[in-house]
Amino acid sequence: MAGWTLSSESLSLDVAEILRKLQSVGFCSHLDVPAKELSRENLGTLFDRMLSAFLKEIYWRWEIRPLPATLGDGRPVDLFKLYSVVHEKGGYSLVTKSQQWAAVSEAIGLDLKVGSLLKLIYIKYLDALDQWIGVVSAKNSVKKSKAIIRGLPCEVPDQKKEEFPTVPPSTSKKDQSLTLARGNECRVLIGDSVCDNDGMLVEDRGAVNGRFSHLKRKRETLVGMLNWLKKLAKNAGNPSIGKSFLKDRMKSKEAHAFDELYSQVLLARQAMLIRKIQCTSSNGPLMQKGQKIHPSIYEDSIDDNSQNREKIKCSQRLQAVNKQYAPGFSSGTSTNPDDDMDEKGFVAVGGENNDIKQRLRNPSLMLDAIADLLSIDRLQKQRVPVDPSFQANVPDWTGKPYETSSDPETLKWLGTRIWPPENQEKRLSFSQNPIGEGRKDICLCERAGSVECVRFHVAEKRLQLKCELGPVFYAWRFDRMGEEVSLSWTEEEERKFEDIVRLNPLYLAKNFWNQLYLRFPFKGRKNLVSYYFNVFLLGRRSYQNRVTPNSIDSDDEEPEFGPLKNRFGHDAVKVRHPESIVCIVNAECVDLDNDIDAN
Amino acid sequence: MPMPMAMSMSGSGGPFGEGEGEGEGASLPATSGADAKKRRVTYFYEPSIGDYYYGQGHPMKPHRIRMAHNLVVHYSLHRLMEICRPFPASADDIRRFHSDDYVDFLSALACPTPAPPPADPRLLKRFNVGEDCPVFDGLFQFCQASAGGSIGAAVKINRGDADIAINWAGGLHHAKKCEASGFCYVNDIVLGILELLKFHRRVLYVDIDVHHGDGVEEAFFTTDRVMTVSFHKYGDFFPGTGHIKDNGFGKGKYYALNVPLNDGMDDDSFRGLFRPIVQKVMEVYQPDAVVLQCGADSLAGDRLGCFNLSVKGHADCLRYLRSFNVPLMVLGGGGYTIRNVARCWCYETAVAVGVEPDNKLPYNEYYEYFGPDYNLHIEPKNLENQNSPQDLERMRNVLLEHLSKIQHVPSPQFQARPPDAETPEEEEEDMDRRPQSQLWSGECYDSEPEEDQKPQHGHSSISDISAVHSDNVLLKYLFLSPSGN
Repeated sequence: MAGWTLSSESLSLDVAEILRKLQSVGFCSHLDVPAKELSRENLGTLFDRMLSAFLKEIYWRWEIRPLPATLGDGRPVDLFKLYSVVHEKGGYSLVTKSQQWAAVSEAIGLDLKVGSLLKLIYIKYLDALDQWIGVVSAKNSVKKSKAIIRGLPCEVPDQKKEEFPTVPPSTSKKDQSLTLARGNECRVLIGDSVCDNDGMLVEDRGAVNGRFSHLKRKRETLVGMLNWLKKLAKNAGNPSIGKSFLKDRMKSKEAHAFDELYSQVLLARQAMLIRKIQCTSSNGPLMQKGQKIHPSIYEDSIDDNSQNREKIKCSQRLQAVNKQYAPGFSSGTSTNPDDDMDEKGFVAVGGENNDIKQRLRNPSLMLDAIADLLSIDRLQKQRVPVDPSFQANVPDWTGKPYETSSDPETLKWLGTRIWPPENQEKRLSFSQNPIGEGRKDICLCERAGSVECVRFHVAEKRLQLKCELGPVFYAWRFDRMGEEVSLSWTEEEERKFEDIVRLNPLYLAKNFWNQLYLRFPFKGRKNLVSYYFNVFLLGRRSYQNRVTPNSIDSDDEEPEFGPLKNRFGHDAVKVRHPESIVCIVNAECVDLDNDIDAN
Repeated sequence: MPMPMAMSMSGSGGPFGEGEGEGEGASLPATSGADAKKRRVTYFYEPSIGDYYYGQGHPMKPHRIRMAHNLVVHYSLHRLMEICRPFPASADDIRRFHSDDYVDFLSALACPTPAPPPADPRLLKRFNVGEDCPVFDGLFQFCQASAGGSIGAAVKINRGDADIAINWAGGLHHAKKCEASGFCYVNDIVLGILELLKFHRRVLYVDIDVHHGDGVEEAFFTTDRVMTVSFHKYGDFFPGTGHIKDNGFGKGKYYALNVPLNDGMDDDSFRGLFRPIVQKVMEVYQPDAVVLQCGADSLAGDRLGCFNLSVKGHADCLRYLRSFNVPLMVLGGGGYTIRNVARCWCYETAVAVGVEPDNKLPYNEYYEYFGPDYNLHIEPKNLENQNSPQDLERMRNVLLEHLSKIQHVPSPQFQARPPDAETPEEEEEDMDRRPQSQLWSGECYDSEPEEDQKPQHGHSSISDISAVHSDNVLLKYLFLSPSGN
């Protein structure tokens, strides 16, 4: 292709190296790193596969990156070429800064106009890759500098290293103490008492120095970095610090220290930013407002405006980020059971053993080590707001009750005693069935378990209860429970109710209640709701129990199936001889209609 | 006047004591017989509660409370209780916790005119009323009944009239001081606890709803007079709070405990956490009264929950707390598969009164809701428990260690007193009009094996933390200020 100038050799190194880097942090683990150089076509294929796997792994659930990437008019963009060219030109920020996107476009064989589109595509598809590679590189540089320290003449055996001042001589005392602490820092960052990438055994210092809190260790070690940062901030204009960085790193010991601290600072910054996202997503009181206990019930709602949806989506997205980095129990790994437990140790709890290595390679855990420390003081303040406008006003205990417990203001709270009824204690002796008794095993009904049978027994039990409770039966409104509620409804009204519910299903975003209020203007909301729960849903459940016993939902408001007239299975719930049942019921509840009308 | 439960110590087992021997019983071995003793139980029920309706498709259905009551009565459990209709809490009563403007807003919704004016959208938004917490017919009356029941339950306990007070219409633990949240408008729990605090020095709140009890935790985050303990699903789940590290603030530091869990908690796992933790809490905190929020959405098959508890496993929490012989307030909460909610709360009422009901449900008006098996108990689902035994073990150890920090500071409020004050114990005897016979104390039962392996390592001191704080300020300045990059 015109404008394609990169040699295949340099590219081969490129992709394989990227893949290795990604794999070192647990991504794309199912892909094989090519042993030999690949041709241009194969390189592109490998890159595409790697990218596709990588994007799936980082953008799970809440964001999809369709491949191949296309411009607005449907033309595909070769992401491999795009990535190579941008990197050849010095990376994304440099290309943007020097306004070279048009040139990039030309270099990969597209017209000049689409430069800005390419920039968007780059951000969307490749930026994450860059960022992760940056993280890996930062981590590697920490390791590298450590390895170099180890290679110095004053080298001591690994496991003793931290007991010795192996760090290079520094110019000031401060630096000395600073670098002493640094030895631990690497360990904390890379993982405790487990093998890191290089298979180097990192010694559990807790075992040597007695039981140390991880947290404390982390804090101690970061002090070095913080001191250094302070120094740097105080001498912002001092060119010597910057110069030492530019010196030949491989030889200057100071520069190693610098390099390492610099990486730590970058990691710390990243950790803090992640924390910031987390805090705003799940813990900030403002965001909580947007969170819903049951989001699904709003999704079908028609009056749900797009702005609200956006908000929910956004918070979900933040949650996903949050989850990815969260130190919660869901994402951790298991550490050595002998390891002392603290918050950090706890971060890494859970998961299966074969997961450990992979997880520990994940930089987010290293970041957590830092972030944990940095957020200590914020946890209480940001997670649960502390302010008189949030807390209840709890007086101190004086040992004295504030008021007597028998003043009328207090006594009103005892409410109205309904049971046992006043002056009717004797009634108790009337009851026959023991407390806690369920239904009898045997029933003499002709068709045991049928709707008629159940109705009969329910009516029987009801009569018995009414005798026992007396007026309390009405005080608790047992007269308005169950199918008897339908006695105040005509058959036609019942049919109308059912039709309205059936024709306005929730999944069509229709609200049958509006229709009900409209069509039954004299029933009143309470009666409609009462009918709905006591008769309508009960009837549907009766049908489900006999016809579709495996798909039951007592909370089902979707009338896709139910006691619909003239449908299969309706016979199962049909009462053959309704008179016989209704008679009993009616005799029992003859006062029902009056009662309901009175209300 | 000693509490009647003191007599239970000498009482014989009672008819239902042995019924708990099937592995679900929670009696403490050292106090044999005490658990079988009947408690004086008061139960609050508002007969109109079932007719409130949040709206089509809304998972919260007050009808479930009516179904539970129906089962309770058909099992004849009412004969062992006093049952009261709650006095509706007035707007002023609700203001004991909630902010004035929020209560004004709520009570304005109760406008008696046939067509109440549509509420100001800005206010709806400000108080988070809308989607999760819709405006529905009778909203304020519903809140009044719920709060009235919980305050009533507290007064019952304050007066020593009851050992256990139940309000299934209560337990709305998400409501905040200034806003509604998660189907909850008025936090009846906070109002009830505030009432308890008039007569009780320390109140323990235990929450077994699948959602974090954030409203109650927040309300009492800075006090040591209320300790909150919540067992809940954590991670990508409403309300998002309840991290294991959130443990109170200021004076309330360590007096909030969070047990964050994953999907699929089953009976054994839950019990393995609940019992040792609650045991330790009771030991170190020594509450004068306990409030248990029995949200039933932690049951298997809940429409919104993701745990896998059976009714028995859920009720085991109540059974265990009951065994401590400390005045107990039992409240409802979540629960969105209504047939199971009714089953659960009916069974828990039975546990409270000390009855083991038959598994075969008696015939009742809502019988068909419980088909096709028509049984009281539910089978756990075939669901993977995503909490590994190792996770739970670690969590338990961390939390127990966490609790041991309280042990070292048993009653901070008294340490703060000037030395010339009377000794607290004497004062309590003198001033408390209703001295309680604290039957149970931390020493009188055998500790479980897990108890013995207390973590040995110390924690970093405050000075360590504060040493870093000043550095944090620097870091924040460098990184988080707009020009920090």
